[in-house]
Amino acid sequence: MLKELLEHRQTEILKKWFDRVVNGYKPEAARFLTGGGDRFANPVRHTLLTEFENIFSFLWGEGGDERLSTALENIIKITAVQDKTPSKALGFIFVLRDLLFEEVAADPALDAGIKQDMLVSCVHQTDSLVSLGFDIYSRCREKIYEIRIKEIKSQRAGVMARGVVVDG
Amino acid sequence: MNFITSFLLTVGLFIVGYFGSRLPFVFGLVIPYTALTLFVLGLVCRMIAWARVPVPFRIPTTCGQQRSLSWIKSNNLESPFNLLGVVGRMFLEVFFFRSLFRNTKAELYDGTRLVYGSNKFLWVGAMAFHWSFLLIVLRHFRFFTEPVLPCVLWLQDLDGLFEIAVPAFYLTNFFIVAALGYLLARRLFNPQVRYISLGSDYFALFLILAIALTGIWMRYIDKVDVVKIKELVMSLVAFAPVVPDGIGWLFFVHLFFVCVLLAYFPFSKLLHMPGVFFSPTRNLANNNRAKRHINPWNPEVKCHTYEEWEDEFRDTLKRIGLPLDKAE
Amino acid sequence: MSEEKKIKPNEILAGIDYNPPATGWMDTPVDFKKGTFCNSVPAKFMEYLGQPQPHEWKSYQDDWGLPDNWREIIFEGMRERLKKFRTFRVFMDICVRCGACADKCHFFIGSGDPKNMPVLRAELLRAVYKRDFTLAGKIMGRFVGARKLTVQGIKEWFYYFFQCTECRRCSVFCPYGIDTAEITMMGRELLNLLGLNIGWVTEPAANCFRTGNHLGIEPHAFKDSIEFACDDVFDNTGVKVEAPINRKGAEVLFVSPSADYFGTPHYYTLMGYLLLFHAVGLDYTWSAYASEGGNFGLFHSHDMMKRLNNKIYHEAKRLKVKYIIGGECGHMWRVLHQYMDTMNGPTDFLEVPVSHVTGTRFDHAASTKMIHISEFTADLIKHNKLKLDPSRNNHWNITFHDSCNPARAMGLLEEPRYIIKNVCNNFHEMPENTIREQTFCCGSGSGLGTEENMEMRLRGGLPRANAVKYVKEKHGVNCLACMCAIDKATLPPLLEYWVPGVEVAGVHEFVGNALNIEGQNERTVDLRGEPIKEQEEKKDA
Repeated sequence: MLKELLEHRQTEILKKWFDRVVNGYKPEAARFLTGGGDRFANPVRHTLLTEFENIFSFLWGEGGDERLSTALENIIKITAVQDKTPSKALGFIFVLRDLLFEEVAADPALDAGIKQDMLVSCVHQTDSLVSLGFDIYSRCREKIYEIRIKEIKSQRAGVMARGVVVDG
Repeated sequence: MNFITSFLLTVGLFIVGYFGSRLPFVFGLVIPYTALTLFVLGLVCRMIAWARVPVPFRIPTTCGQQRSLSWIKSNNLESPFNLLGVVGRMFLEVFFFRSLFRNTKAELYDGTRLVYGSNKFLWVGAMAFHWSFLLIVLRHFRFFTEPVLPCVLWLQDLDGLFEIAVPAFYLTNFFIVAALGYLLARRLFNPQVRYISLGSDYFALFLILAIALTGIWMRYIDKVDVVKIKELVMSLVAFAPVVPDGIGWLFFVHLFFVCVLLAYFPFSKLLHMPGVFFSPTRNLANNNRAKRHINPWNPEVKCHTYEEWEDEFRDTLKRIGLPLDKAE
Repeated sequence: MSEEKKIKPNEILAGIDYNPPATGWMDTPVDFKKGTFCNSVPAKFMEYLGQPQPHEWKSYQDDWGLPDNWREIIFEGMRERLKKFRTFRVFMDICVRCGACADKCHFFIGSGDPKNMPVLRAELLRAVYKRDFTLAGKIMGRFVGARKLTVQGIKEWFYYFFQCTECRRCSVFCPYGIDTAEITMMGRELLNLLGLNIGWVTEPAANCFRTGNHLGIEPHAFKDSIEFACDDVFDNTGVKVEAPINRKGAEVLFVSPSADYFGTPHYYTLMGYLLLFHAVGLDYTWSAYASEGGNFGLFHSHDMMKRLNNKIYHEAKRLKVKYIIGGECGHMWRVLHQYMDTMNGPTDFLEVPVSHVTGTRFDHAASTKMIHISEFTADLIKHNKLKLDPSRNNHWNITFHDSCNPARAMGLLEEPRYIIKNVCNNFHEMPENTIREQTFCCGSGSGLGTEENMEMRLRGGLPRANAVKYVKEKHGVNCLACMCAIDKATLPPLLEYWVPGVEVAGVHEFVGNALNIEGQNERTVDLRGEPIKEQEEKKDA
């Protein structure tokens, strides 16, 4: 039931989702993200659009966790380097949850009991996104530190190699 | 805020021009001469100032293949190797805004939708504005010469090709107003551009829009006595100024706006007009390795010579068996 | 339900956590966030190079220890530069803020920070120029964009001029050719007058001045690493190559960035050079004194650039060579192509380069007498002078990243492509608006490639990585070829984050792999020592 309801409204929900997320950026950045340029000139916009759609369609089990995780990862990789707190980096999931609530609440054809069930289902789905998201976020941050340490080490390695040669 | 200030400033100028029509001597003679003097002197001084600053390095931005091996096709317009290429590159830049045109190909948006990047609009808007402006200025030469030059007449006919109204409606009038409207709207409604826009950016657009609108107003709505205006202009040109009676107030407003533009020009960003010719990333050839460029102030700097280096590392060099210039 | 309603979607920002600035850019102060700026320079390097105002300071602390007369120093510095550089003067005057450059900067695309729009970066300097150097600014103030220079403004300069990689992509799109690299260079020179610089620029410059190369490698270590490379070439190919150093009377002096003999994957490119020179019997020498082609002076000041570059001609003259070949590097070639001859020429002691194998005269280098190795190699291939087996690169599926400086300051676009197409079988271009003159920077050029700046680098490199990801998904690309030492150092971490599974390699690594040389062994491994056949099978599987 919920699945059908949401699929029916997919285009609208996706549009609202993207708009609300992008409105969290400064207006001039938001304009850039909503505006021109293909996927190469405007990669952030492209990633958000594509992966939102993927998340939406994988959410009810079509793609499996792995594909869901890839979609989330592509977005979180970006938000994780754009100096954000973890809550902000995952904020886009909460935006989706609110949207789903609004959709369910706004449907006049549903009776209260069914609505309640649907809302619970929405909470479950987005909760699973959030927990996946947290894992991915910390993986990304770990990766960044790992890369930094690797660089420090390789710089050291140069120095040490020189040291060895001096002694030899 | 910047927008409103500029708008009010333009309205203020309008009012000054309106009352100026009651002082025809000042607004018909003194101010035009002063403005023109400021324009010419200001521009000449600025260009001399630019020209006197040396170009220490030859740093063209290359946008195409360099000239290197004979069998590799080089691009003499985007990466000019000689004067001809530079002239061609500048020609495209000045007359067709080559750089602005770049990156304006139609793009497939998200795989399905075909759209044109916003820069295409910017290019079209800029072309429409600048070309219309140029043609309008040239058309005005019919006021400056007697008899009117044939090429000016020809231009006038071309511009009024579609005889929509009487007097003939000029295409450039439409284009310039539309283009200015677009450029203004872009500054206002595109947050990115609004963020970078200064008061003076709006002011330049308002000022030119005011000139265009008062001009159109005079020609089609509240007609002024063109014969008398030409009389005034010709007397100004001949340095024997006479202000005939009965020129409508609107003309003085129009003229005043033009004077403000002329006087403002050399002190503002409108300097980009002569400035583009001075831009070292565009007006130099990419032949750096073939022809030496001279820096007139090439400084003496402290370098680390081989001799100093050898002295510092002599023991090491000896130990590892590299040849030395001096044994000790 | 009621609880959820308390959460307003707009309050949970998924985007960058900026609030829309209620204030214009002039009133939005800069915030030094960890991971987005480079460490300040230790005083000892400033002192060693005889630079003004050496002092200890930290960019994230409040007090930067500016001298009392800092404002006069800046004004005097600007006055001097406005008289010396037409670029500076004209670019200060003619910008119309059309916004064509705004979304062309990789840092803006990746970060969304409005002051990363090239126009605003320049406006930071222009605001001071307007207020203190023009009549209009004195009269009309903010209306024409004039702003008083404050300590906060100096910090803003530091933050944003060390957040520009001088890649010149914006200048391709500017209708007046305004070059932000030029603006950034002026900004950095002015900051340097106050003793403000970054360690990652000044320390390599100091090293280079003393030992001849950025890494501070002394002659014995230099000799060792070149000899190591010769040994590794022998191990992997069975070919015994010679690499003479400081040899007088050779025909050619070869200069490459020092990372080539101390960094990975640069090192494999170095092995490629060695094999190539051996294969064509080039009479050449390395120099332990001019052991650096790169030039961090470019990122420091014009004077420093000249001081470091001086070694190359000085050494060519001393060794009595006929001409010079330069290795794969980006900013190195900007200096060699656009600055060297003007700064340290003329070169009447050298001859116009002529390939000893093909007889080709490189007239386009008639004055500098220095050619790019890819010009040399492309000419050899064209004349069929190299025996090549491209199948030895079959385990690579390659795309080519144009490095900013060879593309936009030189126009070296076709030579590397010609070489790659002749030594490799699998080559796929990235999309048109991300290569050639429109190429996206690695995000770490101009001295910003340091680990403390990693997050900014990852943001700035996103557009480049994104295009790589596209060809990886579409064509199965597994190797990003490039011809720049900074690229080779900074693209691997970038790709490790954004596009894991794509390696980075220099063009001459492929040349080395493909070259058939007399006396070679069976060539079962490539220059990285990886088995060729096995990898091919793995790929097929």
